[in-house]
Amino acid sequence: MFSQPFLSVKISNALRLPMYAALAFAAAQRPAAAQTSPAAPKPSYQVEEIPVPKGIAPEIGGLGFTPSGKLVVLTRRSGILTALPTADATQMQWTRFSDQSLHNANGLFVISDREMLVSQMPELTRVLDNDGDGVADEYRTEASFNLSGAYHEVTAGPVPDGKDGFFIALNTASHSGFTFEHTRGVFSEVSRRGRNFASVQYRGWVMHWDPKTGLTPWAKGFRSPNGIQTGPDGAVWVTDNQGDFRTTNPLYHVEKGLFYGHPSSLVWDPEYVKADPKRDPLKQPMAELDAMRTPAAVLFPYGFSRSPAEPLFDTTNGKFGPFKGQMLVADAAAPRIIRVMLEKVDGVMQGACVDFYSHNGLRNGSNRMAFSPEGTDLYVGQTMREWAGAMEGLQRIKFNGGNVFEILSMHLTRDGFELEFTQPVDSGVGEKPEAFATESYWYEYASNYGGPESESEKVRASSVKWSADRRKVRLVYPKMQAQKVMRVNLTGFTSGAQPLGHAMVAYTINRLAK
Amino acid sequence: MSLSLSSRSLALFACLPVLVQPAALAQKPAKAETLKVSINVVPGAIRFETTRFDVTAGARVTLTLSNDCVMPHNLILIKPEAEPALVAAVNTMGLEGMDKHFVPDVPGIIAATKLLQPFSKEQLSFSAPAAEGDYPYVCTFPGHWFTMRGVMRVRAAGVALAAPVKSGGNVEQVPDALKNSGMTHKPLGTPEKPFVMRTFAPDPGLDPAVFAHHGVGKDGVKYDPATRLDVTEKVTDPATGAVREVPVVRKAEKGIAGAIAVNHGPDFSYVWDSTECRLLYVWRGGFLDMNTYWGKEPGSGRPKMYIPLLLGHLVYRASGSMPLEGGVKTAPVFLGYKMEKGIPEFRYRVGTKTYREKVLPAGLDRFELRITPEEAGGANVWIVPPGETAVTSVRGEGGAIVVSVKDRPEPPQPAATPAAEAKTKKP
Repeated sequence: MFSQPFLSVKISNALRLPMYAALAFAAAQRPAAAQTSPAAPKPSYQVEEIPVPKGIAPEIGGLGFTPSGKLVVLTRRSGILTALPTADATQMQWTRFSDQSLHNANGLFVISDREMLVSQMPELTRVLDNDGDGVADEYRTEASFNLSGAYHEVTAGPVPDGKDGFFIALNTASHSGFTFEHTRGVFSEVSRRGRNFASVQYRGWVMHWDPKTGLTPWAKGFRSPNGIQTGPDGAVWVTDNQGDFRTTNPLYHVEKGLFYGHPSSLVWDPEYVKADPKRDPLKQPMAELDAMRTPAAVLFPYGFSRSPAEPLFDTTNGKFGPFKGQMLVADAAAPRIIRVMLEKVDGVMQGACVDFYSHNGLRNGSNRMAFSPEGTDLYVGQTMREWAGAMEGLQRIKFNGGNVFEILSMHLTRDGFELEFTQPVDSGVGEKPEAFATESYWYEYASNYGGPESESEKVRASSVKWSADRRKVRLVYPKMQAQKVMRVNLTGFTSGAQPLGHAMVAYTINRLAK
Repeated sequence: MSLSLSSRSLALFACLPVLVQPAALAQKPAKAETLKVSINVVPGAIRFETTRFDVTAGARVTLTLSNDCVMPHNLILIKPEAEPALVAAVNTMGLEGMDKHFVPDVPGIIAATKLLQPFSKEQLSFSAPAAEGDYPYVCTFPGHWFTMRGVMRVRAAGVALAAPVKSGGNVEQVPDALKNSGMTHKPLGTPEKPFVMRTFAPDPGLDPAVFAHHGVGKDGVKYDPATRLDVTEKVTDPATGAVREVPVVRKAEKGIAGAIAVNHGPDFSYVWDSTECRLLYVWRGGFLDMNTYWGKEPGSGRPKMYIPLLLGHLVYRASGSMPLEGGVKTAPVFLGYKMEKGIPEFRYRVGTKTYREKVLPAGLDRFELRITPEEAGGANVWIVPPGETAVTSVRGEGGAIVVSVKDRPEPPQPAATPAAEAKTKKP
């Protein structure tokens, strides 16, 4: 379809060199010296820019692959593109699969070369190429979403439920947007109140849709859930954005019927308004809302993630490095992808987060991700429409092999943590508690738009015990408390003189280990 | 390389890219040592060029912030322990932040510029704190602070000051791929290949009856999540001088949420609504200016209005309820559309009946609706509403109902309302 060669947007070689971004801010940054050394080995992970043809706005709302191996790129206003990935990212032959009709499309599930499910502002749409000419000729409405008229009422998903259905997350409206005189869907005056609000039905909900039962509400209490994913075990994971009733950015393990803390969606819960159709959740005492809500599995440190987007499980079985089965989370407001290490403690999912990749050629605005069929490349699509700097485009992170030296896992124990590393840690390193500088703090549940770390205190491990193979270390603390984030900064860690890639890790303790 | 405030090191200053120099030295040596610091904004990168500079404890400092970026920026220098409170306060400022230059009233601010508009600068004068330490400076314009920041290091008297650290060479700048995309904010189709776009569309003041299956959106009241109360403002009655507290109202706006806008080139455009499942209006002389939704230049700031502007003049507007015989008792259900030789054919259900509908230009002052009932026999038919004079004929043609409509041209739409202009100024 694009017979004319298009001007490629090549990034300079300099960008591909391992460079350390000397931002004063991030506590997670590693020391500069080792990485900038000319003798440094080829980095295990490298970012490549993927240019798209002129006339396409590379605002990426979804990424996927067809069973035949074609990359599918959903854009927010330029429709759907496909291309077979090439080794040289500038040489991809792009084809327009759809027209440009989709409104702020922000979720994609690829069924085949000829069929895709797309969520756009007003609906879930099945995009079909019935005649097989490679271009969609039908846009079939599968489910309708209500809109009050706010730009913020975007969707995330569909993600498959493992059977015939899908989950979709519906964002609330923002007070920075508009409310139309004529709303799509019944308008609730009660729920027009709020910084972020749900004046039309099912805003702030995670929905379930399947062809037989249609669209049904599934879980509530979300604010700006711009990331949804189902795990290999079928569990539903949703990221939400810091703001009102969100002190920091959370990752939720979502279960049917539960409430996740942002109150506006409650007006659309028949049980909630049973006794009083005009019941206003914004007038309900915080303590009551707090008692109703299910806390986040992971509270991302705010400096760490300003705007989490799509989570994606590493299903590559080792093709993308040592983090098999772990979750990666795109971050839309910083050049960063986060890695999440989850575990079930006392029946509840919780865990730790660490940088997976930051700076070094990655753009701000990462929104959607997909692994290549081979598993060696992570495709990353960006968009935030000018919210904070350069944020539109398409990239991929290649795994080159080599020694990855990172924290592999962090387990909560009865009296502290066990940290596991991908490589043996040099002896003489990390022998003393000071090498594990630890802070403990909490994010209060509050109505405010964001909030500080509270109850913050420095804590010191009382003992450090290494395994014989120097891959695991047990940290014991004088006391462990539930409802704390414990953030550990590792200092001076090396493996065969290779510095630890990312040295700050933060564990959200909802439940103590028994 | 180290910097000290002695005259011996003056020669060094000449070769420094960022100025940290004792300006007063030439005239008044020794006593009134004033450190001059210049900090530039790296255009388009949400970064300060200088990410670290040193000062001597207690020294007088003049700091010049130059904003050569297309976005507004400020600089707040703050005590390190005060930063969490600053961040929290900025986050609660909302829209009024603009008026306050995103400088909240929190303790610990050492110095702060105004919100500098593009291509402007401001000089601050202050005394460096007496306590040694790292004092962060940040831009608090929303979304900027996490990359746009640096540190002022306060050194003890007599300690040599290090050269300022610039971020230029060692922080990668990944270009915004949108900038070279060649996208236009005024998309156009052709008669052969119309441009189809679902979007929030302008409501040019249509008869409210056409929105029969919409909700009734009401004005909202600004809400403060920190206090959990509606926000009020004081209003003075001009007649009596009495002051009253009234809620800050956010008016409901005219817009169409589920619109499908279609353009056949400059001569023919229409909005068909996926909520009402009917043609709402037709216009000629242009399509939509998407600047308000997408931004004018690719990668430039967006006005954040989200309703495009209608270019040209209306020639038809729907009125009254849906003109199907027997009326419409339940909300119509939009089923999607197929592209037939580049032309969209919308499909919808009303009650138990399913229809397909095309809108086609028919010359320079006419157009046609082609409505095909899918169920054979006895389907509802399109009726000419009482008083409707634009419809010139309704005829059957191969299973379709063809409704011919003659233009009723209206004056051109205003290019932009004053409110829209105001909102277009800032990203």
